[in-house]
Amino acid sequence: MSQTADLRNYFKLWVMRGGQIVAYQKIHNLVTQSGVTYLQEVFLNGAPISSQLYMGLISNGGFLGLRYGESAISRSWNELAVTVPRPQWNADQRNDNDPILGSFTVRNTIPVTWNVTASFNGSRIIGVFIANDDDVYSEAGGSSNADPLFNGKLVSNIQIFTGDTISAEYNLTLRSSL
Amino acid sequence: MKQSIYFKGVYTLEHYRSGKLIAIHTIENFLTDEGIKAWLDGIFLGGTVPSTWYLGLIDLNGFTGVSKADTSISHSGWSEFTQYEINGNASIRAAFEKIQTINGVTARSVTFRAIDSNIIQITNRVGKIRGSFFASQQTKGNGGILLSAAVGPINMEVWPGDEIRPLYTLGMTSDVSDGGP
Repeated sequence: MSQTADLRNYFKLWVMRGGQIVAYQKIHNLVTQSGVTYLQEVFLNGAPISSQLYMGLISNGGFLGLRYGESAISRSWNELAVTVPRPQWNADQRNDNDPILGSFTVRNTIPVTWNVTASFNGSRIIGVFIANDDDVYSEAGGSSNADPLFNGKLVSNIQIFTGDTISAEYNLTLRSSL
Repeated sequence: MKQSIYFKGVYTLEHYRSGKLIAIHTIENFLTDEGIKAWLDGIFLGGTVPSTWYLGLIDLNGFTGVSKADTSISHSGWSEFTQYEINGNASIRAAFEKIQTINGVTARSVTFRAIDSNIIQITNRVGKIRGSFFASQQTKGNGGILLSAAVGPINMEVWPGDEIRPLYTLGMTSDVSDGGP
């Protein structure tokens, strides 16, 4: 008997302006090489590398693509540090048989949020990622050496303005093919 | 970009008789629902994932099937094969050391290799082993978490005095080696 369990995951990201949703996208995502290592760590040590995960935004400016082998020091994109430090992503629910029988999904029911300040008025978001450190990559003197673990690219970039609220969810589904 | 990470576990049971290797059984596993939930909870929801795992054997006697709904305390289609000792102890299962390896660009695996003193030594009956499983409880019998189970294409007939050296590799492979925008 042979079986493969497969893991799929996606982000949902939306922008609120004046109390209304002005942009919404569901984003299939990439697990990086560091992400695969992160997922395995629990089998080696009984615990993940870090139980704290943080979500960041990817700037459209300078974006050249997402790479499987990317790291904190070697990326083809820049972080849009709307919030410093990065907001935390807290999974708080596991849904069984979601979305199909035999699948198990972990997600955050409370969205991660960023409030857009004047410094980022007119900026464009092209993606989102999760890393296990809250220091943004662009922060002067920031200590983050945490590699992106999961990241995803929007179908099209979203322009944000002062006063907008950006919200995001992350769903990670593991299912067996048996 | 859409991507999947594939999990695949493989048991390798080396079968020795009178000190000679007489067969190598390679068995692909499935992860149980109990194992998947423990893994997800351990990484993302603050649950506890055992840091040590033990290999058990599935008896052909009474075997009707394995199911991903099997748990360590409820597996109606099979019974544990218990007629062996580990380093003279008849009540425990084989323990492992763990090694993480990188296989090419896209794959990572954790290999569980039985530590030298944890060779399975068949004791007092000729029997047939249908498969194997990975559980968090060292003592034979029900309890702990059942991570995976597997049945091979053929049964393994064992005699008193035979030895089995187990290996278990749990691999994760990405279907993306790199990607552009």
